Amino acid sequence: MMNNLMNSSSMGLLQKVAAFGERRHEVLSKNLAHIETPGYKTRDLPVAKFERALASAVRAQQEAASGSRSYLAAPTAATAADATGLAPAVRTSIPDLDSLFPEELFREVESDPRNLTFQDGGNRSVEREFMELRKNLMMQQFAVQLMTSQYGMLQAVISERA
Amino acid sequence: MLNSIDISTSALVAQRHRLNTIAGNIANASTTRNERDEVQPFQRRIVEFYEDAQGTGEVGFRVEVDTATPFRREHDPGHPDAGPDGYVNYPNVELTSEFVNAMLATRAYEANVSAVQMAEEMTQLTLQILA
Repeated sequence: MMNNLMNSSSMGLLQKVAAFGERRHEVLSKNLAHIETPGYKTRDLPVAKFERALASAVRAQQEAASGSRSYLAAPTAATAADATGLAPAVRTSIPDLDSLFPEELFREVESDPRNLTFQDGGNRSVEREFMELRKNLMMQQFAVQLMTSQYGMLQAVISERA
Repeated sequence: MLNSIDISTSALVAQRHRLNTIAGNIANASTTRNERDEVQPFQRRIVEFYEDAQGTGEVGFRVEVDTATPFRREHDPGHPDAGPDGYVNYPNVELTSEFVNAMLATRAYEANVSAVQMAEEMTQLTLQILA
């Protein structure tokens, strides 16, 4: 029951977004730390790939949700099958987040040379790193805030008061 | 999360050391003798940054002595450290570039302080998820 409660909502996705934000902050602050290291190439996480993975995870979850709704709407199916037979069916309808977000999404890669390249081959830019850091921080905080409010709702349900 | 704070801290240490070295260069801009009181002009020190080899991504630094830039020579036969030709060798420190470098170091330090603050903000909010 707890597994269903935690994973059928967007909690798992939010957790992935927050984890990605934390990891990306590490990579971006490394770029900033090496702003004057000769020959250092700026790095980043594959953001576009992560966003695609997120989109497909959301889609998979929506499909799973609509599937479980139809199961709820059909009480005859529920009475026909016993409880032990139903439980795995419900569980498999929840998409496996770890396979949707493989490890390589959290591995740093050299970022594409979007700006001026210096003589040592570096492509550093304090402004760009800062903007990315800020944007990333806001994205991560957004995910964490949503998670906090979802836990707040769960708390309200458990204690029966807001 | 703590990892990113470590990385930023290593950059803070490196930039502060760079600023110290620049201060030493400026302070010794007209030092014509070494610590043993021999006639030997001060040589400009340079801080060089590199990426830590241990794969942590931290900033390492080493101090090097600038032996390539020639000394500043001034004609002053009355100076006690003047050579037989009447010229005094002064350190190869150029104040303009030292000040420019000091400014760069300060800005880089500030940038890393901000990165630490952002990391802190992030962690603080994450710790409040259940609070």
